[in-house]
Amino acid sequence: MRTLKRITRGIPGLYLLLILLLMYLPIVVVVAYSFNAQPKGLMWTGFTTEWYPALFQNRQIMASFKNSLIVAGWSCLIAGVIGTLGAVALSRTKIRSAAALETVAMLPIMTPEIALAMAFLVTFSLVGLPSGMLALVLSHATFCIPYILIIVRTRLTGLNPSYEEAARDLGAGPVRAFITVIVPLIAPAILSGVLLAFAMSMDDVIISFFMAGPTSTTFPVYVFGKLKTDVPPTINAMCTVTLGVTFIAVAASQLLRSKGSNT
Amino acid sequence: MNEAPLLSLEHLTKSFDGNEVIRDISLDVHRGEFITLLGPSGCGKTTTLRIIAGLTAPDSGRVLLSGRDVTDLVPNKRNVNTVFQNYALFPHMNVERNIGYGLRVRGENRSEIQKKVNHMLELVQLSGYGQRMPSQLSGGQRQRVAIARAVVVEPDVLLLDEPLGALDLQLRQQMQLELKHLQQQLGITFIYITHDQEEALNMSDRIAIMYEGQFEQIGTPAEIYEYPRTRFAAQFIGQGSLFEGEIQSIQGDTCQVKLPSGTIQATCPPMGATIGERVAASIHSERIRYDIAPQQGFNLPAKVLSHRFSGSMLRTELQLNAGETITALGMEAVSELPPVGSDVYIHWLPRHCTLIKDS
Repeated sequence: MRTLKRITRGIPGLYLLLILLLMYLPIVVVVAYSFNAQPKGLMWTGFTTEWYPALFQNRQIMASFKNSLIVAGWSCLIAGVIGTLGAVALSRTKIRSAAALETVAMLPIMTPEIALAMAFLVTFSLVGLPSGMLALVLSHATFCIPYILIIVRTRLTGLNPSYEEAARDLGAGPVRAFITVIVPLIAPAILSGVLLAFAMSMDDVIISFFMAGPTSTTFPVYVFGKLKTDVPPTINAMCTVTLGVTFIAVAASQLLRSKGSNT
Repeated sequence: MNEAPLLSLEHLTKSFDGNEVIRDISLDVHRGEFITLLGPSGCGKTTTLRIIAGLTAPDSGRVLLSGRDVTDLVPNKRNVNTVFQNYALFPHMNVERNIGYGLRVRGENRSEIQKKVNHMLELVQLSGYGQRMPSQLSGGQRQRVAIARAVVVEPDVLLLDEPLGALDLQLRQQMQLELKHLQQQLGITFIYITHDQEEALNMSDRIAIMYEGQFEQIGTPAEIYEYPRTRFAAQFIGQGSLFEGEIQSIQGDTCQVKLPSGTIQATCPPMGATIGERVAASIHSERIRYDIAPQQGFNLPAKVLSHRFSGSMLRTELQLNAGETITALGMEAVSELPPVGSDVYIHWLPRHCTLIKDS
């Protein structure tokens, strides 16, 4: 009986381990093979770090990586401002209309990305905006807004209204109270949202594929394109770097969120 | 008190979702006064305070500050400041920056701000704590910072929403004294909210007892304690008993009142009384006497149910003929008192018993 009990008690843990294994094994494999001396295939021929310097010496890769950073940077900045102000506006709207508005604001996350990409393509060609960096930044900013909005809104909901009232009471106008009291208190949430959005922008393929012009290929689009023709030996190293950047952004985002909810 | 009031509330009303929170209240507050809004939670006292601060708009009525109508003025345009219930210290600013916030907003120059902040820190006995963050302070220290932050901008009226509510009893009693002292030192008008009658009686120049969105009675602590005007005021202030009865006869200032358990004597209501009128007689527990032998005046027969110690007083439960029990508070030793089970006569001085007319 006792051994049976011990076995059954271990099942949930084992199950969890299995799930984590299924989720992370492919990632671990990619990271491991980025150090494989044999560039293609699954044969492990020895440890090397040569693919990393090769990666950084490849002009095309570095250009696409730079594009990705520029697009993510600008779109996060724009989305940060719009998302934050949107969250503030939502927190001051009557409860029922706020719920409806929030759902509408969340649609970009829930819409299939391919439909969103088509929508951007049609809209941008209607207003005469060519594919390229601007189209990339605007489209990325659009799907980044919901991430920032929802994180900032959660923080605002938990924020004691008397901080702002105290500021107003002490003589600050609404704008001054917002900048000197509300913004510092929700700053960790804003940054957390921005970092999450940054990660989302960095690894976006579908929308970027539609928006990118000939000189504005982003890193994921470049990788995607390369896979179809000849797989470069640096592919695993490339994936590992992307993974690293995204992971750092998401981890920082989480860290900030848990830190910001303390006050 | 002949000068015009500093603050006037005129027929204020306020409802939230059809729920009447404030029903036609009016109040005049004079310069330098310490006035307390006293009432149980949910009586509308915080809403009243928020209306004065401009954080909530009344449905009707006016707020006048130095004779000027400020009803529709935003909070940052009124010279009224608030000490919030949870203090609402800005968690991202240190003590100095918290206190200096109002001065910075007003655009005062740096050295002037530093001077005033230092002076305030000294006044609230927090010199040397300027660089601490609010999270590094004790409850009592936070409370002082909140007061300093509100007082440094020299408001006409300081509003305090249960500022001692979060503190333990000992600290509360010490802070009561300090607050009163500070108020006298600064000469600022205080409007203070509490549900603690002891706090109100201890600190206030005047008390407004609030119940279900209305002022039940406004008066000095002595007036409120000695002459409650409503049943609620009588039951809320002090410890005592309320008897329902009928006026039997009147001799000068003293009324004879017939209760189900016997006849008592009390001071006649200030607006006069008529024979046969229904009244409620209010008597504080510490003024009820009882003895085995009948006394002069009137005597209400009763039986001793129990003696119990309650703080520094001895609490005696007495049962009247009609079955109701009342409590007497005394300072005698148990051995000097009629033992449990004995038949006694209750009496008191007629001037200690107040009559409340049905309104």
